[in-house]
Amino acid sequence: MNAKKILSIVLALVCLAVPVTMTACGGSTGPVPVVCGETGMTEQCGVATYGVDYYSLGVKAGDMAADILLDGANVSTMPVQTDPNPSLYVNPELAEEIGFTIPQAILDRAEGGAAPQVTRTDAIVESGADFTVGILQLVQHVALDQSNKGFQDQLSVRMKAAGKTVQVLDRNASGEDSNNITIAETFVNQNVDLIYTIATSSSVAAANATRENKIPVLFCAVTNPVGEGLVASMDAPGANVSGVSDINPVAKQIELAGELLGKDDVKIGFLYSSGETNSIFQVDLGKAACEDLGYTYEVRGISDINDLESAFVALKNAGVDLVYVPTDNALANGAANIHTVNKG
Amino acid sequence: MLSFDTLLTGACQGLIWAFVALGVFISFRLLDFADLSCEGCFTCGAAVSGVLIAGGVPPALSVICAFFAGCIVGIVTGLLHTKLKIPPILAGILTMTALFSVNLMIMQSPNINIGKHNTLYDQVNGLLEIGRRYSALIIGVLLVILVVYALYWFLGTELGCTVRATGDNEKMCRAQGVNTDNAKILGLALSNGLVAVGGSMLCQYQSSANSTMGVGAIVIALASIIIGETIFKRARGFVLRLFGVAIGAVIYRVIVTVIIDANIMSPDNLKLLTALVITVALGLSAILDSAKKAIKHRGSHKKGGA
Repeated sequence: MNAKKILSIVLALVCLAVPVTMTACGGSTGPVPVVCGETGMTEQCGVATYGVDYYSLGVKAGDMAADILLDGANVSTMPVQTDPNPSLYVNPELAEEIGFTIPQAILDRAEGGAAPQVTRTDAIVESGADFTVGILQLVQHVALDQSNKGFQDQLSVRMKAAGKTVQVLDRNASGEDSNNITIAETFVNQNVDLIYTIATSSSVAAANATRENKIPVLFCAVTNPVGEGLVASMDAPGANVSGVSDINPVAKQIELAGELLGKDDVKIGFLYSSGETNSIFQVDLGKAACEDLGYTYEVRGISDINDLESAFVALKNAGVDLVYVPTDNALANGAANIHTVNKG
Repeated sequence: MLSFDTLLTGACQGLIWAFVALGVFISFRLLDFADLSCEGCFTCGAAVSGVLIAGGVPPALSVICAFFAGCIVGIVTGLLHTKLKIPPILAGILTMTALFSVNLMIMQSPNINIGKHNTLYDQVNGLLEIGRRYSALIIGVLLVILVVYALYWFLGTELGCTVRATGDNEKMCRAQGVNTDNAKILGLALSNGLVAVGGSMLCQYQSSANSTMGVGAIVIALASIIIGETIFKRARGFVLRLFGVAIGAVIYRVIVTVIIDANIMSPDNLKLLTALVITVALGLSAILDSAKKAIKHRGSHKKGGA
């Protein structure tokens, strides 16, 4: 055996030993309770949250669309909407699985079940409709699909009531950013009456594609529309773009975290996607809430879903009492994975 | 279904992707170097352009800055490969991985919206007043022709020839006294510079840059190259090969636009259909070729028999 081989074996052993000792010395690696930004994710990995219901957001956007198409409302003066009464949602089954007890007071306060759905009518037709609406969705995932469905359901109801029909061009960029602008431009080419966009980068693409002909654009699932430059302000958008923001009540959720743990010296771990503005925005709100409440915190960012496990374990090793997961596309898709990692 | 506007939209975006395809052509075909840093580099070009335009720099200058930013990326990949002897694919992956953070650093945020600033497209449109899309077409065609001829000229110079020769036969090239390390770094710098120009142009076209906009760039570029090569198979001359790559990018984007426009069955089928249509486009040439050969074979057989 030559020196090179011995050296490589020693190196391999060192590489192995480092994580093993780190895990051994890292203290608690058992599951920690997780609070997510939204209900859908809480079903898969969280114990409780104040949830924004994406279906209801879609319904709100559907109402706005109907106001624009049927009543000629001016999109530039329609305030950006948010979910006014987020509902408390608990997941006792999952809490039991990770050996966490949700305080009875919170359990008593929780309202059960998802928001009721609108009964869709047959006002959405394939051709020869009074109006054409283009839908541009960034990627297939549960929350976004819900905002799409809620919009179409409510739009169909309002159209039926007014005795009109609508053709819906439902397009999905399938997660590829370069398809956003292609889809937005096809809508502009077809001169649709309104564009409904779901998720931030799709909304920015549509807003910029309609700068010349001012087709009304309604967005949904955009967390920070002012910061993205989509609207001038939440109350007066100012251009042809308005919509529904999915900003979750982060401060309320952090407060809930303290209540769940039932103690004062709480240390919260924030997990976020460094590639998504909305994720950073929520974590910034969360950090501010922690400072207000006198909690300490630890932050770990991931660049894609493959970094999830390392980031989560790092948070646990830092001794956090609870992990807060904001609503963003990467983490929403990896929600089930978060639970697996948490269980260890 | 197939309207003129659809074709125009596809063509405008295809002309932007043509820069990326030409860039990847240099590394992938001429240097025989599978450079995966393309995805990060594309975003890097967009980020540089977006930040500069938002800061009030003239858009044309921002494209040039993006080019040089891309060159730096290429030089880094080149140094990793030539000096540290890291295999090409890994060197590219390392650069691409690092670029994710670098791009965030450049943009100071995961995305920038430059909708309120004038881009190159807005400026030309303001000058010609023919609509943004037609301006994009004119800029695209002119720039692609310019870049193709500039590349043709450069790769014909002594320096450019060393890049091509290095890709063809590195050992022989070194035996002739060429510093192949420098030739590789030069080729990669040029390649990544062009990829970054593509990113810069797309950023201006859609008035926004995004940390994930490079996802899929390498696939689009490679598909464009192969489509161009398949269609221009019989083209003689290097300049036609370069044009073939650019036209391949246009064809690829037009295909995607038509598929999006047609929306067969469900929006979820987009990627499957794109893959299918391109497979058919590429396979068709092979099938036609073998059919032709079969006919020829039969013909010669008859002649022989007579």
